[in-house]
Amino acid sequence: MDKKLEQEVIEMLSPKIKSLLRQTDFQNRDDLEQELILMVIKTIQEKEFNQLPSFFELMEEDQKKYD
Amino acid sequence: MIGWWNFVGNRLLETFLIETENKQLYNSYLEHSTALKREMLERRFKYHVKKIRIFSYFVKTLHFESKRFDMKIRKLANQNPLILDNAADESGRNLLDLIESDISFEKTQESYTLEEIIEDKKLYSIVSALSDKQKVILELIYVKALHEETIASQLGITKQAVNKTKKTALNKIRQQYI
Repeated sequence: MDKKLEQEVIEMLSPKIKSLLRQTDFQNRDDLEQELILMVIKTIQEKEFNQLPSFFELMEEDQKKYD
Repeated sequence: MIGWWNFVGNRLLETFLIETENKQLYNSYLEHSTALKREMLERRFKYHVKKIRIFSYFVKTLHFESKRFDMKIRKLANQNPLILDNAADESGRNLLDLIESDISFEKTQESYTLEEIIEDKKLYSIVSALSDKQKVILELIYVKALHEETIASQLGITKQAVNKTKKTALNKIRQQYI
């Protein structure tokens, strides 16, 4: 699950990363890219998530609006 | 589970159910609910929320990280200046500047010119129409990746002039490229 999450998040972030790379020196771009991706992976692996919401509870809340 | 989840929850559900496989699973659950489908939906949804949270977290921190990276590079450059970057004489020019061959406003032919590397037809025609000065400066900045300061000292103009030429050229390109 973790690998897949890493991959998907990095894909989602790649335009943002590309735009940040353009702001730095030509020569440093590869290094920066590596550092950023490393940071992303590390955070994903270490991050603890606060209580994640339940799908069905949220659906119930949503339904209540129409009652 | 009440409170701010009311606002955010809606969006989370929307983005979750927009994905075909999730919508299909949910529909299948509505037709015939099983504990397994229920569990799968919960699991997938939590994954979805994790993904979104990480993404939002990073959109902010990536910016900060790249700034930090820039500062680190700058600090290193100052602590361990490359020999060629050292000031060579009192005029403030460094050895690297002295070594570089003279650049004039005539187009250089040794390395790739801007026009040679552009693949987009539209962009090519716009760039070809720029003045020699604009082309040279864009080339030095983007192809040779020189600093504007270096370019200025080589060409004998101010760095503001370099910057202005660059900006004018880029604006021209932006305006003409539809």
